[in-house]
Amino acid sequence: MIDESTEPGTGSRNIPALLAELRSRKQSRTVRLTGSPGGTLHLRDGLVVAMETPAAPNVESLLLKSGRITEEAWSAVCAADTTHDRLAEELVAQELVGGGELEIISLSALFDAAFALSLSRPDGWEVTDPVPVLYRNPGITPERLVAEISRRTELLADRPGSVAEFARTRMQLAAPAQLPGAVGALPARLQDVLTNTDGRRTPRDIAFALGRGLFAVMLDLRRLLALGLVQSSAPVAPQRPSTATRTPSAPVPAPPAAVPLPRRLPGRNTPAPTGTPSETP
Amino acid sequence: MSDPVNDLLVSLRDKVMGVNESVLATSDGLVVTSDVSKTHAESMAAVAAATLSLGNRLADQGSTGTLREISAQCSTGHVIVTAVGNRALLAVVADDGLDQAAFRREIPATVTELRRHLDKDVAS
Repeated sequence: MIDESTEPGTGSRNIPALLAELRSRKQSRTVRLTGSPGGTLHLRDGLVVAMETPAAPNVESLLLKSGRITEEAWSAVCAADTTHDRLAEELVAQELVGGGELEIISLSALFDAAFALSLSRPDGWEVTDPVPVLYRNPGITPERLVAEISRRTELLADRPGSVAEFARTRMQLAAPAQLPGAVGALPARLQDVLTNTDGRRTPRDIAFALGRGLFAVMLDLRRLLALGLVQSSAPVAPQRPSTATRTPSAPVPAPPAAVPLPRRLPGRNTPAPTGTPSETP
Repeated sequence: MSDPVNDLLVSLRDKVMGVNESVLATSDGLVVTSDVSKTHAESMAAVAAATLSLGNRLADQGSTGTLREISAQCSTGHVIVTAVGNRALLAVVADDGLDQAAFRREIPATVTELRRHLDKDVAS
């Protein structure tokens, strides 16, 4: 149980400060962030071992969506470890993934989620008891995490517009991407990104569709942007015609006053007198 | 062409991370409007209507009250069918990173708005 008197995080100003505090106390905790998107940070002995957020694929997504592990194999792993406490050990024990490979995937998912979460500001957080999570790495210090986030942000920052905005932009194919031969010379990795660029997907959506990291997809998209093969999808806001009763924009001219037309009368060759004396014969 | 009902579907996709496609259909499986790129809207509407109908029977059999939604949790995503009043339903296709908290937050408002528009279709 968490002792309320030593509950960490209540006085922390932001997430790095909270992580630094948990690090100094060497605590194993789960930090739940609320916000759009929210996320979950998993700490073991004060070190961050995993982060999960809807903004970036987690280890399970990376393994399953990329086809690295089949659905049957994953079900078998989950069945073998019903507490989900030793998923990583089971994956390695069943020889589905190598230990080193899983460590790389686990770390890259951790850094990717940290990068994705750094693009939005959390509304708040709650520190709870640790919950089981799939990870295989010795843990990352908060300082290294912050340094890695800055490194990634700087790598993308030379593009006009903020990195956060880029992550939210829906991407579409530019005209040159339709030309024969323009795409064929590209590495398969970039071609996969192109096939998943449909004007509706954000970099995050493409990352989930491919089972790749958000940062990796953003780097690829930046390259494709530079090559002129993709462009940000212009926000479409076509207005359908209204079916409401139309009201004329300009006022209808008033009908002329009901004055009788001039008439010719027998014996008179001049119009009716208008009151100007010069017209009389 | 954009209409307010379709705008609600697009807005749901904008607001909730992970929502990819959605179809608004009548309870008998005809498409009202859709926000899709890969999903075949007509097929989704038909299957979702059948699913919701079966779900109502399930709720009956289980004596578990009124059905709220049916969700298919799959290996790389979700399909969630929600009733929109008695005459319509909303089928949402989401990836495995769906922001569940945001979805829970947004779906009641979206359903209420959709109902408001669809209620205009019948004379009161």
